[in-house]
Order: sequence, then C-alpha cells, then structure tokens
Amino acid sequence: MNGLSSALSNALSGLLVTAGQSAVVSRNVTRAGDADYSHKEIGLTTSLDGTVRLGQYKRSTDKNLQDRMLASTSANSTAQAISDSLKILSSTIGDPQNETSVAAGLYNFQQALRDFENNPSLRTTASSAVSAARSLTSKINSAANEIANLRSDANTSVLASVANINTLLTKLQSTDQVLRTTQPGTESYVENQDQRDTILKELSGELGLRVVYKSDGGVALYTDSGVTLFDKIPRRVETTSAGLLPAGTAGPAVYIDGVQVSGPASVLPLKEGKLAATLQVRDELTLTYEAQLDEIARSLVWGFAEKDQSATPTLPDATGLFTYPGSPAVPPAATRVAGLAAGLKIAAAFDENAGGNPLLLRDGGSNGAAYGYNLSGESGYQQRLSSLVGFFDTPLTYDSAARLASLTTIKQFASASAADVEGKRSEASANADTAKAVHQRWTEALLRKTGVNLDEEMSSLLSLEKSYQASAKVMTTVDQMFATLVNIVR
Amino acid sequence: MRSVGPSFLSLQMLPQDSIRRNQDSLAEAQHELSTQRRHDVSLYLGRETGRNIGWHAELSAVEGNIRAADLAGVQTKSAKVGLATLGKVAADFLNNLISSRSAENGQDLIRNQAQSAISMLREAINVDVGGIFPFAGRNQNAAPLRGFEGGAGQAQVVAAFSSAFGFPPDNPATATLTGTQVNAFLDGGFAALFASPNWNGTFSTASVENVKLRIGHEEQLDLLPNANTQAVRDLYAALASVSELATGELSDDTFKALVDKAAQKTSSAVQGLGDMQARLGIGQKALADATEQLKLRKTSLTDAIHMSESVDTYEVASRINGLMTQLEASYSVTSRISRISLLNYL
Repeated sequence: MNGLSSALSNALSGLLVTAGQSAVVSRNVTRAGDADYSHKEIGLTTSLDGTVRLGQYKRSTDKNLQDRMLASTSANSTAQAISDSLKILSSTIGDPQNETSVAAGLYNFQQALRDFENNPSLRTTASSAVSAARSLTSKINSAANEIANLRSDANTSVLASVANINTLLTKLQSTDQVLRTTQPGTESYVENQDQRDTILKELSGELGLRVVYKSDGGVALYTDSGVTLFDKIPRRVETTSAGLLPAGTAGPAVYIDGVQVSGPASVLPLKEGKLAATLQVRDELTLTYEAQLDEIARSLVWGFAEKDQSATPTLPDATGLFTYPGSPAVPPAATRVAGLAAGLKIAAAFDENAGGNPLLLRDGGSNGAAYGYNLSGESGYQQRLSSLVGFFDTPLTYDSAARLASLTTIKQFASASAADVEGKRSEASANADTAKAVHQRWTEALLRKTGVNLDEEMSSLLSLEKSYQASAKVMTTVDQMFATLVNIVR
Repeated sequence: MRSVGPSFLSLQMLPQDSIRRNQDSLAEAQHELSTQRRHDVSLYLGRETGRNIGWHAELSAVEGNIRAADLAGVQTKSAKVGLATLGKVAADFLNNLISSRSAENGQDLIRNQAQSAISMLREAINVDVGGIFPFAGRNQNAAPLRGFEGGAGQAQVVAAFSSAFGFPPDNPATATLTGTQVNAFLDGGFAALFASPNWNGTFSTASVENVKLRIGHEEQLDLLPNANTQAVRDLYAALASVSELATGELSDDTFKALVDKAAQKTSSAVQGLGDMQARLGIGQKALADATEQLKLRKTSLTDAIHMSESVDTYEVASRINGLMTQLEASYSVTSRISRISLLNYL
C-alpha cells in the first residue's frame, strides 16, 4: 500500500514539476524575440520522501561576453555620435563640385576681384565682386550658424544624457537592493538579474562602464576613467544647464560624485559613450571649427581694411568691405575674435542693395575721404584691387586655437579647415563602421549564449509532454491497481 | 546541461544586418552609376577634400580667365585697327607734305589735309569697345583725345604763336617771318604745348599708366597702346603745326621750313607707330600664349578632378551585379532559415 501511494504522490509531483517546467518553456518561447530576456531553466530537487520538486531557476549568462558587449556598446555609441556630428559639420563643406564651402567662396571671391582688376572701370564687374563677397559672407555666417546649432543640440543632448544616467542609476539601486537581499535562484532573483543587465546595457550606451560583481550579489559601477558611479547607492551625475552657449566658450562641465569628468581641468575624463562623445563634440570639435571660421572671417576683415592715405597718415586703420560688430576698429593680428564669423557682414557703403557703391572696392574711401586710394579718380585705377587680389596669396599668422598651420595664406587656411573636417569625418565614419560591426558581433555572440533557441524549447516541450503523459499514465495505472485492489477486497 | 545553439534572435539578426548593409551599398552603387562620381565625394576624399576644392575653384577661375583673355583680345584687336589707321594717316600726310612743298597753292591744300587728318587721328585713337577706350590708359571710360578745332588745344597754339611773334597766325604780318624764326617757335613754345605736363588735360585725358591684365597667377600683361605715346604726340604736333601755321600768308621759304619740320616729326611718328604696332603684336602673342596655357591647365585640372572623384562604370556595374546576387541569396537563405523550424514538423 505504501508503495502504491508513494507512486501516486511521485507521479503527482512529476505532474506538478512538468507543469512548472513547461511554464518556464512557455515564457522562453514568448520572449524569444526580446533582446533583454535571457534563457531560463529550472532545476529539480528530490525531497527526502523521494518526490521531485521544482528547484532553482538558472539563467543563461556569460559575464565575459557581457563585459565585451557593454564595452562595444559604449565604443559604438561614441563612434556613431561623433560620426553623426561630423556629418552635420561636413554639410558646410559639401561636394567639392558644388562650391558650397567657405574655401570655394574665397577662391570665387578672389576670381571676381581679379575680373574686376582686369576691368576696373566696369560697374558690373564691381557689383559681381561685391556679390561674390556677399555669397562668401553668407557661407561663413551659415557655417557659423550650423556650428552654433550643433553645439546647442549637443548641449541639450548632454543634459538629456545626464538625466537619463541619473534615472538609470536610481532604477539600478532598486534591482541591486533586491539582488543583495533575496535568495539566489528564485524567480524574482533571475528576473531582477535580467533587469540589471538591461540597465547596464542602457548605461553603457551613455558612458563607458567598469562593472564589478560583488559576492553579496550586488554590483559596483565605475566609469571607464575610474570614478565611482554606483556602489549600493547611486552617485550624483551633475551639470549645470547653460542656456545659450557663447561662441568660443566650452559648455559647463559634468561632475560625477563630485569629480569633474569633462573639460581640460578634469583628471579623470570620460572616454567612451554618448555623453563623452557629445561633450567632445560640444567642447572640442565644434569649438575648433568655429575658431577656424572666426580666423577666416578675421583675416578677411583685416585684409580689406582701409588705411589712411594722407601724406602723413594720422587716422587708425578702419574696416572696409567686411565689417563685424567691432567695426570700424580693425581686429588685432593673429588673435581669434570669438563669434566674428557669425557677425561678419558686407559694409553697406559697398552694397548696391543698401544704396552703397561697389566701386569703393577699387577706390577705397568708405571711411571718409582720407581713406581714398584713387587720388586722381581714374576709372581704370588698379593698385588697390591688385593689392586686394594679392592679399589672398599672402601668408598671415593665425591663432593656434584653430589648430591648423599658423603661418599660411587665407586660401590655404580655408582649404586646410575643410580638409580637417572631412579628414576627421572620414576617420570617424570608418571608426563608426568598425565599432558597429564589433558591437553587432559581440551582441550576437552574447545572444547566442543567453538567447532562446526555439527548436531547443520545442524539443524540451516534447520531452515535457512525454513525461507528463508518463506521469499521468502512472497515475491511471496506480488508480487501476487501487481499483483492482478495492474490487478484490469487496 | 544546456546545449549551445544559435538563439532565435541571433539567427534573426544575422541576415537582417547583412541585408541592410547590402541594400545600403546597392543604393550607393546605383547613385554612383547614375552620377559617374563617388557616392559621397568628400567622405571618400577625406583630407584630400581641401585640395579638390582648390582644383574646382581653379577650374572655374581658369574658365573666367579665358573669358577675360577673350575680352582683352577684342580690345587689342580694335587697338590694332586704330594703330593701322594712324599709320595710314601719318604715311598719307607725309606724302602730301612732300608734294605740297612745291605745289602752287600748297599751303591751303596741306592745311585742309592736316585738318581732316587731325579728325581722323582723333577717331582712330578714340575707338571704343563697349564703352571702354583701349587708348585711354587707366581713364578707360573717357575718350582720350579732346577735340582740336575750337578747343583748348587750338586756342593754346594760337596764344603761343601770338606771344612769340606779337600777332596771331592768320595775320598778314606772318609773311614777314623767316624759316629760322618759325623753326625756333616750333621747337620752343609750340613743342612745349605737346610735352608733359601740358599735353595731358589739354589734348588728352588718357592717363599715363595703362590698365594691366592679370591672367592667372602670372605677372600682369601691359597690352594696350596709350594715347600719350610720343608717336601720337609727334603726329598730332605735326598736323597741328601745319593746320594752324600754313595759313597761306607764309613766304615760300618759311613754308618749306614748316613743311620740313612737320615732315621730320611725321616720319618719326611713323617710326614710333611701327614700334607701337610691333609691341601690340608681341602683346597679342603673349595673350594667345597665355590663353593656350590656360586651356592646357583646364584640361589637366579636369583630368585631375576626374581621376580623383569619378568611378569606373564597369567596376560599379559589376559591383551592383555582385550585390544583387548576394541580396537574392540572403533573401532566399532568410526564408529558408525561417522555414527550418521544429514548429513546422510538430
């Protein structure tokens, strides 16, 4: 009798276990398409009385692969963010054939001046020289605008990243709490592990992480530069909202746990991740390009300034065709004036649309008679134009903030600036392709280990079905045996 | 223990990624095929982009310079016509001087001829091309020679004569003048009128300096003749001396002295005009050479741009074929993989 009833209770526990196992299989199948879900299994334990019970949940995982995947996620989001930003900067240069760049504008303007020099008495050539200057100015202005927009977008993105990191860290705190306090192997334990992995993946997109798994089941997070990000409690990631970023000034720094992690003053600067990349875009890439444009604009203002032509000059040099907010004072040599590119304008005195006279380009004198070059009023006067044409091929000294060769002609400088942006973009685009491929490779490798294989689930479902049938068969058999026994007894 | 096989997601990801990559490359290749240029030229060029911007700009500059050279060619051509007319005026006048020397009413004859020659001289020098006067130097927008008849020039000649001899040229008293006296006047007070600074302003508004032409980066070409050239002044002086002094009142000897002086000036003008024509010819040659150079430069720039920015059509076409084959393979593999599932057999 004891044997039959123990067979019955064993069969019953078998049914229960099989039902529990198929619940796990069913969850595996339903979440097969969820990249944040890892494959689960449930173990079995045998009780003292010989019945089988559901044991601990096991979760497919691979710490090594996961670390690689997280690192590649950070590297990938850095590379994509930088490549995307450079693509926007590159739109100010465009296809060389379309002559959309500032450099092309300079070349075209010089050519228009040369045409004017060859036909100095024609008002039409004067007008087309001034209109070439206007198109150059608008190219410089719109490039400066593009940079300002990109910087303000990057700034918004920095604030969003900081907010997102803080939210994720707060979420991490609650899962970490659960993992440190609950018994491993329970359902909620493995679900929380999944959740933690998801948070880590999202965090690694924002910034480079170093994850340390601790014996109590919790984790400690450090940035790739070594600043503590999370250890039982989240550390504050802080920055100040800057509003509009003035030209030539880096945005507000980011602090983690009170340590500055961005800007030149930082000893532990962030290396990878979207936050690091947008900080680099906001405070380095755009600033350098902005400085280059400012320098181009400054040397134009300087090159077209007018000098006092009196026998004994007493008046200071004054800006001519190109003006800026500081006009008529001419900006000092070799020193960047932040924001000049955005403020560059054509002086109204030269602009026919504004009632000006384009022939002043030939004669000078836009700042008063003392600045007139064409003293005898000849319509074929060429000297001033010749020296203006020559300006484009004269080496000048440029501010080192532009990070290009400092002694060069304005044409070479502008070409070098275009080459600088496009060179960085080429490099960044290649980096982004590689980083993306590496990221996909590690993600795939990790999914191979932790993901769900439907065939595997189906076959285990088959075997579960069989064992369910078998347990049921055992029960009916035992039932018949009991019935036989009861019949005999009756 | 769990057997490790590819998971559902990794199986899905693999063909998706490769199909997306192939589709991107295919779109780029099609763009390249239709434009014959690299898909994203500046991305492809990278650091070389600055160089290519320079090439494109230089190409349009070279085209602009070719146009400028063509325009200058038109100006030099009409200057050449003007110079040829001047040469003919001078040569004809020289012949007439010699024949009038011994003719009966030589003074009246040659005076009339000198007067019409002066207006022909003015016409030849004041030729214009679309409002630009090639002989005017930098003062391009104004006709270089002023009118003589009734103008400041004539008045000054008459005044100089009067101050030298005490009576105007049409006074019968001129009959008393000797050849030596007239010669002295022509070399003195009269010659001073045609020398700088009096010439400029009185007879000519042309500037001393010429407008120079800059073709490319080369030094400036000084092509055009100038109305202030000595030959033009000599011819003008010879014509003016005859038209004002040969009033019919001069004695035969004095008239001969006047004619001799005028002939001497005219022949030196003929020589000078020859020099000017030669110089203009050299200038035209230099212009043609420069244009030729520009056209060569244009060809080499076009080649350089083509080499660095274009794609090989055959290469792209075969790339497209390869990509399409790959895509088709990916599609069929994807559909097969999705069919190979235990689900279909349960």
